[in-house]
Amino acid sequence: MTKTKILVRISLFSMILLLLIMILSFLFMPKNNLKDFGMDQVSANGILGEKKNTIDVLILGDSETYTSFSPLQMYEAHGFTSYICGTSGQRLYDSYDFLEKTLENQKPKVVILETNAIFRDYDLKTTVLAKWKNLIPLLKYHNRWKNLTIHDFSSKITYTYTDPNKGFRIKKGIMPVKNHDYMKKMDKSKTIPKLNIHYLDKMKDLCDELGITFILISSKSIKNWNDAKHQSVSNYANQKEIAYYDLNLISEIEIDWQTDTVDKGDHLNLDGAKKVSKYVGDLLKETYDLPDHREDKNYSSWERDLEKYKALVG
Amino acid sequence: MKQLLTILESIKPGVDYENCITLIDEHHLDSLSILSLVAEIEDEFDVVIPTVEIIPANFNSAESIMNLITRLQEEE
Amino acid sequence: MQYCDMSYLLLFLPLVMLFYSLVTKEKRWIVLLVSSYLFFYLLSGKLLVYLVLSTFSIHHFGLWLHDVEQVGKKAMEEAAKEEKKRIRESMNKRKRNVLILGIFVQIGMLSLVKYLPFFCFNINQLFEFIGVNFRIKQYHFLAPIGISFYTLMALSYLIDVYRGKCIADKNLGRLALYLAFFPQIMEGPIARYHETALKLYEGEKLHYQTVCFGMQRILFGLLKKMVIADRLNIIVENIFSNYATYNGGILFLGIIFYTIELYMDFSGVMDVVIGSAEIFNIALPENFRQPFFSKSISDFWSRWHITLGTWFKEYIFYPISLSKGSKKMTSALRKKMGNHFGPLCAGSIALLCVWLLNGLWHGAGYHYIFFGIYHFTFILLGNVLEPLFLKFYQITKLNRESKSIHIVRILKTTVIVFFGELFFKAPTLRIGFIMFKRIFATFTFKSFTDGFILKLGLDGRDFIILGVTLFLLFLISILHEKNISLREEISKKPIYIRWLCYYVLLFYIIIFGAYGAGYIPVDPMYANF
Repeated sequence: MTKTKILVRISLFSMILLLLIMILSFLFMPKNNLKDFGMDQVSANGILGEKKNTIDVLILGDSETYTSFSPLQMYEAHGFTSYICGTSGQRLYDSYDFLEKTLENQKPKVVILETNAIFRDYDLKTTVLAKWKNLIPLLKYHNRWKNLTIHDFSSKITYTYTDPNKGFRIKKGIMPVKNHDYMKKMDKSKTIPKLNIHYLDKMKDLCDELGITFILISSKSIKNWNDAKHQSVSNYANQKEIAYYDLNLISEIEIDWQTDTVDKGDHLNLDGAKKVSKYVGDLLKETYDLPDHREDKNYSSWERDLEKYKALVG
Repeated sequence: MKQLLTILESIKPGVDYENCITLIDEHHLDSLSILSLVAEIEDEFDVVIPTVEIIPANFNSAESIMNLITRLQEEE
Repeated sequence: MQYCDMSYLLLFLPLVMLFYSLVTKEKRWIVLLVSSYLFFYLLSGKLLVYLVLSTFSIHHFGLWLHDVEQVGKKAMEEAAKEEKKRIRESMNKRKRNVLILGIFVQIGMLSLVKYLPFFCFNINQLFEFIGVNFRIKQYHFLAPIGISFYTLMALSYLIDVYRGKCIADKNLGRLALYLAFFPQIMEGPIARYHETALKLYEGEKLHYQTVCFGMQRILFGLLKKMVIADRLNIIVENIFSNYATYNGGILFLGIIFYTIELYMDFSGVMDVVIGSAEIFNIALPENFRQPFFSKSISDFWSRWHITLGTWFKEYIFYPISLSKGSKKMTSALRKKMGNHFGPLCAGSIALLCVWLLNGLWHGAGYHYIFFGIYHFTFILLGNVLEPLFLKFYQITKLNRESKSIHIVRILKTTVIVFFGELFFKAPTLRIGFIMFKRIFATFTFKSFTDGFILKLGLDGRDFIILGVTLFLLFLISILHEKNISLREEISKKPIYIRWLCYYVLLFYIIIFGAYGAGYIPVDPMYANF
């Protein structure tokens, strides 16, 4: 076989392959962001179902986010809307993806990154793999062969689902931990992994470009947070002129580790979240001039969700 | 050759040793038969078969076994 | 990086192919060597030093053996006839000593990283037993992945040089490439020097046909590994780690699934490995030949992990069973007990050594040793009872070679293998026995009828995919058993049919592969031995 013939064969084969991948990718894409449609991480992806340009504050990060901040409590107090795109063990490239995805449909004023994820290290390979999977939905959603329906062959993609708690998860259990001075001064700061610096920069740049304020918040966690981490995030924030709030240093939020944690100081429970959300709500309202939608008819669904939420919280 | 065929027949009867060329590959001779065979050949033909020579190629047919024996006799 | 990773298949391998075809023929072996070392470095990091040091030592000992022989031969040429015998004897003695030293160095290095903790543990237990108040500190080295495979290749080279089967390689690069070739370094197959070394060094250009064949083989391996083994892994891990809570029926299913998983994983990776080598026109020895069509345990071991079996046969079994003492024993016993039982004694001693080493080679742990002894026992029983079986078939006039008898024998062998793998997989020998007892004490089919089986991590659809895929693979195995090569049949078909086959296979793996969310990535199972 001649060289040209081989080349023609290879390119033809790859072209058909690419075409098939595209067709199948479309087929396997969840046609809605409901769990029944095979969507992953539904509570975070619920943002896709929010009405266009209705979210004022977007919160990104790992499990610390959805156990600490309650969007509906903040809405009740101040009338601004927020949503948590939090997933357990979130890596910063995930956070960046959620940011990009959200910005297609939303124009938030403030984007918050909870800082715990900044120290979650991973290698280049996982990043590349995740990129690949986002590029080729077939790889990400291949397991949907289990529940493909006839609709997957025809219908367009529509997102109807939104999490009534706006990404927040109510945890009522208590598993106390002995209180101790976990924020005592340390000599050294903890290094932020290089890839994470890269993604932090990217998130900051993207927000700057669109006139969005990007801020960092460290939620209360006796297990995950310490002074070494505080120092390095603080240094980074100073250097990039990003506002940084470390709630662990704010004595005004009176977290009692005997009653306010669900798992020995790793995550807050509902009581803890209430205290943190109160403080953060006030802070955001005061500092960032956020609108009040409580009288706005377009936001009536928030009122309904709030009623349900109140019943749940009790 | 005749002597060899008798030996083979006594160790494991019922194989067409004259024509079969896959004695090892088709498992007509297992490792225990090989041990018997080596002992018998060494006694009958007065040669020493070194371990290096115990490879399928040397034992796959009566002919190759005979070749091996002849070669070893010459080397003595 | 593992052989079934995207980073290997879509990045590493294509890059090696690219560089390989860019450089001139004389330099291609360098590309292979550098990429092999890079591969090993990515796997085991600094332990690359171990590989390099060990390669130097093998090279040195090979040449040393060669030198001793040259010096001896030269002396013999000059010497008088009576002298010759004496010189030959002293030369052989020296060669033997050099070989023993060389093997000692290799095994020593292997023991240092692999067996020291096990050894120290036993010594300390002994101290405790006899009441000595002294303990050895237990060091833990990180064992380089695939080191056991590498060591067997290194030893085979030294012994082959000693036996004059191959000439000691002066070319350090060629020897290093033979020892470290990246497809083989993790899980074998164990190739002999004469099988691959020269071909690897030759640097033949990439051929369209072999590249295609290689890729097909890789895809076939991925199918086994990703669709079956990785899927079964979920349920197998669940059953083995919660064995105390499941009934005998589930546990028995667990050992069946584990055996299938092990086969699909190991032979699947072997397909990827052999396919990778085939791309560079290197024919690696096969490691599997339809093992589940075995009619006896010894038959099974000539079809399962073949290169390991061959290695033990050539370097352990025959040297022991054909040593001077054994030969005497065989001759004497044959006269008294006939052709069947005569060699059995020497053969069994050698076999016991093989199986003890085989168990130990798989890892430092009593359950591995037990695994070896278990298989030894069944092979021995098979040998001892053979005359009885022959009588049985004579009396009952059943045809041993008939289809139905074959099936019975195959089933019997397979069940023995299942229970063997139970001890292989169990974390300790004690747990192995507990599980073994539980299987019989609490056996019931209840869990299969009340839907409990679907709550172990795999749903009904998973089981359908497993069933369909295993059935297809079973059909392919039957073809292979009948010596029909499926891929040669396919290569005769027109191009659109061939392409259709590729696309179907490719997307079958992508869609039904057990990877991504909800599946834990599974390391190749044999890499740690």
